[in-house]
Amino acid sequence: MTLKSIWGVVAFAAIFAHTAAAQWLQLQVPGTPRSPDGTPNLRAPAPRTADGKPDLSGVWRARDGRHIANLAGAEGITAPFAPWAEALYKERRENNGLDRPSGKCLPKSVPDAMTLPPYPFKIVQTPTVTVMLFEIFVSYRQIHTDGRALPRERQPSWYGYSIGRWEQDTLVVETVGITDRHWLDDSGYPHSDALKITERIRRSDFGRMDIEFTFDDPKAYTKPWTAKVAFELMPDTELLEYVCENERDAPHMVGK
Amino acid sequence: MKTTLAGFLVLVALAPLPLLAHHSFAAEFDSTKPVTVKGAVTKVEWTNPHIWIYIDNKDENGVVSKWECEMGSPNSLMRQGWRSDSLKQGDQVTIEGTRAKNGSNTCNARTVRLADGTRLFAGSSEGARP
Repeated sequence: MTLKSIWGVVAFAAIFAHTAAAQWLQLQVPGTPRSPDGTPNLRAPAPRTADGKPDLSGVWRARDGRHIANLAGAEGITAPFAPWAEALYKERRENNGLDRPSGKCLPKSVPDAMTLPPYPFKIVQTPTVTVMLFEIFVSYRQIHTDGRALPRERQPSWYGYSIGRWEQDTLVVETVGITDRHWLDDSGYPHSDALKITERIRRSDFGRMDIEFTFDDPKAYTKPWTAKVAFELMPDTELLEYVCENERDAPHMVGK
Repeated sequence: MKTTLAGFLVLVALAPLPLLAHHSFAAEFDSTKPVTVKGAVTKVEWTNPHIWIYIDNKDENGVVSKWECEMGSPNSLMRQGWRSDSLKQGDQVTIEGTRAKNGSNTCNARTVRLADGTRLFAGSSEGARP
């Protein structure tokens, strides 16, 4: 090895160490199964908690962005709209999504905060509550698994109220109370205050998780409909902060 | 710098993720109006939801027009290898992008090319979306 190449290695290591320390974009996360060379083994079995449940904890992202722009279309289905909901959806599409809430830095929620490959979310699971920390807009939701019922009083909120229970290795989550200002995806599938979302969450191995979302909203849709989204673990990295602090697009937005 | 850029370009090739905006692309930009903006970077805002770069574009008569172009979010571009000092005030750049529908000197950058010809990736284009 020449002196020049040694310096190259030293310089690279210095740059890399600095970057890694700066924001934990790359680090070795403890508890990750690894091959002998240190590479994360994403096909290892899903981890389990002390009480034997699958442990969903980790940094996850949608495996592809198929569900962002057309949640029902990605499933090859037409959403079973009620007439008013269809008219509203048509208007939102014709306006090119001008009024998409996130354009004004309002939150994304379920499922649209979870379908964005560039913006991961972190699951932190405890026996009584599972928390999802969303990178986008620095937001969170709590899924209570302590046996409580859904609240009777439901002040509309952006993430709603969620309870979960285990059916074998699947976490079944019910969510109500999401504000009707929220869109289900970027194209603008609407919903009413009657929306109930049921998620069936299954971590099939260390690196893969699937969630089946069922949207039951008797005011906006004539029957429940379902979207299945595949997720992949992002090993050895961390969330980054995303505060929507410098929104400069709104003044140029014209719609059609 | 060269090494960093080479590494960066490798990262881009390995990570062809869709990069999206918090807002609708089609409501703001006209995909039928491609634009090339060339000039000196006067300011870089490395903030969410978008990195914005400000450019003084000089025409053949030396008349300067001021442009502002958005890129992806710092988060998505950091994961692709960009750093906050990848682009600096004073850098000469050529930006290829899409012009705002309202006719202002605003663009959505698709690529950023440095004076030495190196192409950087801007990552905010949603031009293919309906």
